[in-house]
Amino acid sequence: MKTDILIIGAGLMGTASARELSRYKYLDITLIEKGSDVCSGTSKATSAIVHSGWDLSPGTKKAELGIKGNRMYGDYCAELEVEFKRIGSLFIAFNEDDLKEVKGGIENAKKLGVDARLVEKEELHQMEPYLSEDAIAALYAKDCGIVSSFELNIALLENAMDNGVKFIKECPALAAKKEGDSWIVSTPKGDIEAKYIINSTGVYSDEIARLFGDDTYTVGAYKGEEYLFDSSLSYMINHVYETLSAGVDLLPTTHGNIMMGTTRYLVDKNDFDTTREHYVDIIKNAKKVLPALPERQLITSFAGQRAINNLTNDYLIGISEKNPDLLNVSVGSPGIFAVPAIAEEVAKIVNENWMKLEKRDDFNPHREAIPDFKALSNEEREALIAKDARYGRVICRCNTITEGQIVEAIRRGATTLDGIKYRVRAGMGRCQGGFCTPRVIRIMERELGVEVTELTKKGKGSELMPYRVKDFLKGGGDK
Amino acid sequence: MSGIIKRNVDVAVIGGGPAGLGAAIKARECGADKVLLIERAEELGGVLPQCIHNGFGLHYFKEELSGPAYAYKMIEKLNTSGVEVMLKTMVIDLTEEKKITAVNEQGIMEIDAKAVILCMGCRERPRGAIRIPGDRPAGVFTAGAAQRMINIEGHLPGKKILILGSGDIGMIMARRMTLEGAEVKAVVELMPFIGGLIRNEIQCLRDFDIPVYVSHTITSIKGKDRIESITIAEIDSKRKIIEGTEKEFEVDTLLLSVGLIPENELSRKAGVKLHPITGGPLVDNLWQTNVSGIFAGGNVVHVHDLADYVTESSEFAAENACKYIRGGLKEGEEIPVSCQDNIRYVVPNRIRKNGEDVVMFMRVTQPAEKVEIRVGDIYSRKLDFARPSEQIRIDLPGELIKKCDSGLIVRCVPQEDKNNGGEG
Amino acid sequence: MKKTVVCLQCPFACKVDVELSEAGEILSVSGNRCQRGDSYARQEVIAPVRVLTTTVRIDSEDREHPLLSVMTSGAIPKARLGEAMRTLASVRVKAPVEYGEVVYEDLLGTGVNVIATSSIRK
Repeated sequence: MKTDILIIGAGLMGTASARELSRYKYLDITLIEKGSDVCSGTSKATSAIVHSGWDLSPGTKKAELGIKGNRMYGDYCAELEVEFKRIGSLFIAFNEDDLKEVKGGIENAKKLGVDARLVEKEELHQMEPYLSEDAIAALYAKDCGIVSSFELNIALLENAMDNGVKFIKECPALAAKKEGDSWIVSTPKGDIEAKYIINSTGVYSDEIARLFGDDTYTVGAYKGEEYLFDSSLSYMINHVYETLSAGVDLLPTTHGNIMMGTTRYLVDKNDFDTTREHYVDIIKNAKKVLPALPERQLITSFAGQRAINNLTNDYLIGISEKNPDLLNVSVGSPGIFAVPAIAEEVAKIVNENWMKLEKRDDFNPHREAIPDFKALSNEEREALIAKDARYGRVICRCNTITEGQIVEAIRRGATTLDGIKYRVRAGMGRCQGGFCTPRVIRIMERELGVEVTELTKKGKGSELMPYRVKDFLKGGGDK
Repeated sequence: MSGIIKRNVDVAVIGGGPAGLGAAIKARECGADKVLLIERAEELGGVLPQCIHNGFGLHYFKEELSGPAYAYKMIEKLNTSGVEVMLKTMVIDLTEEKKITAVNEQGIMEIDAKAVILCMGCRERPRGAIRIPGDRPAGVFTAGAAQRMINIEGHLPGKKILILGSGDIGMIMARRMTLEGAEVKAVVELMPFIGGLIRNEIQCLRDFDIPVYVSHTITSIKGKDRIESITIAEIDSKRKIIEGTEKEFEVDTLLLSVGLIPENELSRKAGVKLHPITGGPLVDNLWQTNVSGIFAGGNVVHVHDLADYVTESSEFAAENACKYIRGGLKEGEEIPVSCQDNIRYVVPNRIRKNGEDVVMFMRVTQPAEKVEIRVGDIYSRKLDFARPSEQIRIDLPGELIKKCDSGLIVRCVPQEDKNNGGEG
Repeated sequence: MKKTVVCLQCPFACKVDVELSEAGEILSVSGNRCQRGDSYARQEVIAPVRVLTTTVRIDSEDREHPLLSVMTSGAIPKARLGEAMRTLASVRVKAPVEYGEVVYEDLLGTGVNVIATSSIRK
């Protein structure tokens, strides 16, 4: 298989880059992903805050692309029909030392051109009635927003594919060699011949760079643990909370849950565990901030990794010093706010270094979301059901997800239980799939046309129901 | 566009499990004309069809039945009762004015009901709610989801199993998986005692020599794609892990049986107030919620021990719902009911002083022997033992209630030796 | 010699004490609330038996019901539950099956039948 540009890693950075490059003529783009779906690594488990950037050091790539990216977000998400809410953030002070940081932050924001102002105690508690009385003031940055990282990631992929990008999952790059003008990248799905390589592999960026002869940097992983509370608590919090002395971040998600995080500590790249010790710390801290937060309404937890580059705290985005055919996109935290700007930056680098880019006339920037049954009016629901009766069958009762939505998610490429969950939120509610999992499995079996024993949670090795009843009693299967 | 269907009924019953079936049949028996039973699944019975074990029906049908058999018998009754049934229909909204919005393959319906009986039952507590540390590999299921997969769909989640929580479903699944040839390596319980009924401990665990670890918790789950092993450790009375007590089990599956939560999202939409401990609606002794004309029965109120009791409580709610629509509900003065001293909760939460007999249900927090249940100073009853897994029922004659002036406090205290006779 | 048995006949779960002689004869039974508890305890100390509830495969038109829930018509020896499961693993019935219908006769020669506890009509 041959391609012009091979993008390795279908997280937010890789997928946004693929979609951006699909705006241009005569380009054949292939995006490969080692996981069983897009958004399998860093992008999957983030707090998905679109930061305003008030705290960044002026002059850095992070500040430049992040602040620019933040401003692009509204239109970007509107085109892709992804929910984005510009709810604003509060950096909350609980003591005089914090307050100094708040004031310093406001100064810093001025230098950056980011909107930030001081909110005094009284106004703060009007903005956030459930916030602890101990909070004395805050830095309010109105441009901070929230998004769902996997919804954005999936939307970017769908739109990229609509515009001609080829996507191959379960396809890790295992080795690479140069032959003539091209790189031959071997994968379990066969060799891929590519002129140029974009490396957007998050915490594995250093390992992939090495495959292409670039050993100039290493990447470590910071782990962040995030805890999610039931959406019935959405009334408790209106803004993204950042704290210093309190040691916890709290924010509403686009689906109305409260997210609590995040501890950050250096870990092994395979470590995605949430731990008891950190939980104890986080919840204790969270209760100092939101005293009424009920622990029993916790519905799930997850851990994610953020890349940390040994060369710089800043983003490392550019052509490799060792290989002119390799573009490394090594982005640490925060990263999400910069996504639209990074994609443009990637296109700019491609244009300046690899080939002259020329805009297509037929690029379609619009992606249509799967109908969100729960968010529709009764009249809209009625119309949808009249067109397709499967939208009248509720499968996930916590999030009111219908069979129509699940079938559509499968049609758009979901092949795993998690793939469906991330596309339509089936199983993401307060019962965490206890009720709908058997029903979703039935739909997957029918729509995908595979045996239940082969269905997985997140790709090969994660089989959900590997056996059938009576199998063990007869000493074998009875297929 | 076809437009939204609008209709009126006398009594709408939401949920077609052991509670809803009982409530709907009873509402017809009590003379309600138009009774509508709305069920979201493809068949009636709620969780009963997947509960293939026996232990059902001893009270209600006076014979020992399996879950599917109990459902079969209820549905036979329903089929001749004149109840209208809507299957594969999900109620998505309920208002204080008792307007129901429901959806099915035909579209959206708006139903105005004179009385509503909430019979949505309960759901299982998931992993997050109990904060099991570790990665997110495949192989973690709630016991109920696994039960459905095994008993209805015919799939088996794994070969080597660890079960967290010794609730009844967990123990029943331990036996079920063992009978199907899987190996249940351990049942792990956070509390110092078993969570479910003794009969299940005997016939589900001891019968098959399945080890139980009480006062233990999961400290880590290993496995990236699928579970590979689970480590447990003993905890002290403050729930701190005791170092050096870790044990690792090579398993591919974790079943969670860590409790049930009444399912009350709809109730909340209608402005129904919920009890902080049970998670169910605050009800009076007529099983009416704070919203006039909205009643509740079965596990949506609090989790009952037996399906038979679920049916019984929802029947009671239905009787009162019928009185309500005829304007014959004797509401009377309200007396609040609260609890203390080892009583975890009591239902109902307020009593109507209307001369009618009152049935109370309660659970203790800690197991205790030789205790006395006291209801204010109007009633007391001695018990040989009280266990958290077994609900206690108290029948109070209406005459006694008349004597109360203020609130009733229900307590569970040690028996005073001089008094004789325990009911047990 | 005294053996304590927890009665499984109903949810009361009485603790029943059975007094046995050296030769294993039952001398006395106490602690039970009803006659069923007495007979249960006598059986349990000598040769425990259990009612088995399980499923068998069914060929039906709709794929919704690959399994039929069943129960033994009486108790079988506890020690033979595994054997019974292995026997029933290869039983395959055809719809329609009515509630209460015998789907397998004389399980393991015990004289106990296996009956359907639900109906699958097509």
